[in-house]
Amino acid sequence: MVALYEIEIGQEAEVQSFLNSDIKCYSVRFGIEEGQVVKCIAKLGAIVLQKNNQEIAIGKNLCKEIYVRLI
Amino acid sequence: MQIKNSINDNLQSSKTLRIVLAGNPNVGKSAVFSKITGTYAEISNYSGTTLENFEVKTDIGRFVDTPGIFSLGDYNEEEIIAKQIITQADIVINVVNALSLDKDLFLTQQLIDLGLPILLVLNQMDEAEKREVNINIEKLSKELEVPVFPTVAIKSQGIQEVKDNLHNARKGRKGSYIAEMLEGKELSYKNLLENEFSTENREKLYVERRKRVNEVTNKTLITKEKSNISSTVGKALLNPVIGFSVLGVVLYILYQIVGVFIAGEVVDFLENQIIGGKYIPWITGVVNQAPMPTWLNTILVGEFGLLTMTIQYVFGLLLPLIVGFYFFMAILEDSGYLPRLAVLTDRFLSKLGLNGKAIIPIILGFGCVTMAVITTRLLGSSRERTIASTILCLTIPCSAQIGLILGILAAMGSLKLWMLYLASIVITLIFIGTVLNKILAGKATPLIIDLPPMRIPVIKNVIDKTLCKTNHFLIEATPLFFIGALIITILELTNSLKSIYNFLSPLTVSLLNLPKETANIFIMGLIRRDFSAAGLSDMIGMGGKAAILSPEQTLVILVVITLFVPCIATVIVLFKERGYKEASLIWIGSITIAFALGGILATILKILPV
Ligand SMILES: Nc1nc2c(ncn2[C@@H]2O[C@H](COP(=O)(O)OP(=O)(O)OP(=O)(O)O)[C@@H](O)[C@H]2O)c(=O)[nH]1
Ligand SMILES: [Mg+2]
Repeated sequence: MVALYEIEIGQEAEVQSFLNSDIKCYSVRFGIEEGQVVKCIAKLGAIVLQKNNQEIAIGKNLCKEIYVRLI
Repeated sequence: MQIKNSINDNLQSSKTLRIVLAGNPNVGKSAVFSKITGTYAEISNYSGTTLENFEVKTDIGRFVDTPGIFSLGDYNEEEIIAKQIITQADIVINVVNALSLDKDLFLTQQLIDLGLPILLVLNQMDEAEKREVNINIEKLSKELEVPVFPTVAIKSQGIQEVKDNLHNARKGRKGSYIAEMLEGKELSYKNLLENEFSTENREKLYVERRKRVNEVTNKTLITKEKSNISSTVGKALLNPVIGFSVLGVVLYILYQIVGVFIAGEVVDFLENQIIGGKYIPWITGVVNQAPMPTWLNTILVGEFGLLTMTIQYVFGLLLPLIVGFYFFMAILEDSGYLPRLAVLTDRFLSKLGLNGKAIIPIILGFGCVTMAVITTRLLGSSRERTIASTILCLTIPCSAQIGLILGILAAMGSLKLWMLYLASIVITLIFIGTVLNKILAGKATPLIIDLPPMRIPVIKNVIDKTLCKTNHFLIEATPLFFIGALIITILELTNSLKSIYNFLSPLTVSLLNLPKETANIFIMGLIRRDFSAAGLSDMIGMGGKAAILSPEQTLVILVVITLFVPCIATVIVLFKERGYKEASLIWIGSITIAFALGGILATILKILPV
């Protein structure tokens, strides 16, 4: 399990857990929940994830508080 | 059904219904609102366009447009504002984006769980079709137990059906977890609503709700990732090299259109040929013939005359710049480029204690700092709002002022001056952001935004927005210009202007190395920023008068009036939004910094002339 921040462009990852409940609730609303698979389409400090037809940008600090399994 | 009856009763009785539009940011709530009610509402392709509840009365009822939210919580100011009105609604028109159904339905399920009568509007169906997103509408309606209407708001498709079916709003099917949570606990919905936000229940509720929403979307949504031109362009803009090159090109086009074409040719034609060459001689003649005391004559057609200089500045100089600038901004706002710029600038802005989202108020500040100070509400914390408001008030020149600055720099034709001007402003911006980031407790809130598809701007929307903002400018600014001109004329008539020149000469002459009369520019600047730039354009000879300033002096003034106090309207909004303590600090701080920096620059330029 690594921080989402470790993901590289083009790579996919499955969300595993969150640093705390607040961050979990915050992300769950966007559909970023445990078990969700996301794909990284850009990384420039912030990371841009693609999920279905949505693109979601997540700032660097938040990326360090979401844990994933790289696929 | 009970609610149906009560809504029908309401429709028949004279009690006005309150119909609230609610939904995630940028799904098209304002577009739907404006098509249903026929009133103008601001529509742009980024999250956080609408930041206040906006109510319109029609013969069907009172419609309220609300800010976009991801949940009815208290994560940020928008949620708090929207929550107040949504929980009071008779009918909620919940707008969702067909492209992001799984995200958007989270709020829908929350509204359903709260027992609000709902009408689901599935907007942006055109985009969904383009990307081959298939939604089984019937099934969706069955699953949620609320009526669902597909729409393409910008083309008015499906709007009439929504209007015709308001009375069919339904309380949908609550998640099974609600019954569990309510069981044995004697909780009412009101309690539940309050409980939502107490931390122990929230996580469980959110996770269960998300599960339920995923279940619904799995049953109703067939989609695959499909790229088209829009998504390819969108992705390319996230590449730093391409993204920043495009920014460079955008700024260059802005410079060519507003700085060279409008500030140069259009203004020259309007200000010098039409107003200066035809209107002013004519009106001066008319007024001179009418019998009146000299002082009145001076007020009307003197050097700072209400009918001469003021008209010339407002209509000959500022109006064309404003129109050009707002038109350009409206295109940018509609394109979907701004949220991508937020991603590109996130790293830099985090050094100033902000996150990438702050680029949106900063860019909008180039249009109007006053509006931008309100837009800082889309930032996550009060700390970020303080930093962003300070940066806006201090370093960001607004539309007409920028237009003039571009025009003045273009007229002087020196690349070196350009660079020096930019460097002074950017260094101040970085300096003030870094300092505030150090001294204010706390840190930047994390960035999480969704990136809308890139779009070709809708021409009608661009024109409507430009007209609306221009109109707003004329209504708000014109009286201030008249008051400003009047004050200066009175000062002149009572011979106080000379005393003020002398009084300020330690600042103007000794510190900034400028002629005394430049005090005028600062007095005008206290009233409106762009007013001072207009005064300056005269002094460098743009209005057909003789130039009295050297390039070095012009540069110093440009820097000082950019940093100098925000205009009256901004100050009023600043006091309202940030409180008197913080607002006065920003106000006094900006004057001090402006003159201090101007002094430093003047000294450097004395030693090393351009
Ligand atoms: N293609 C397409 N674009 C749409 C449609 N409806 C709205 N838009 C565009 O979507 C963007 C967002 O529209 P708004 O009405 O400002 O969205 P909003 O939900 O009010 O956004 P906030 O106030 O920021 O929460 C704008 O660029 C609109 O032009 C639609 O049906 N089809
Ligand atoms: Mg809106």
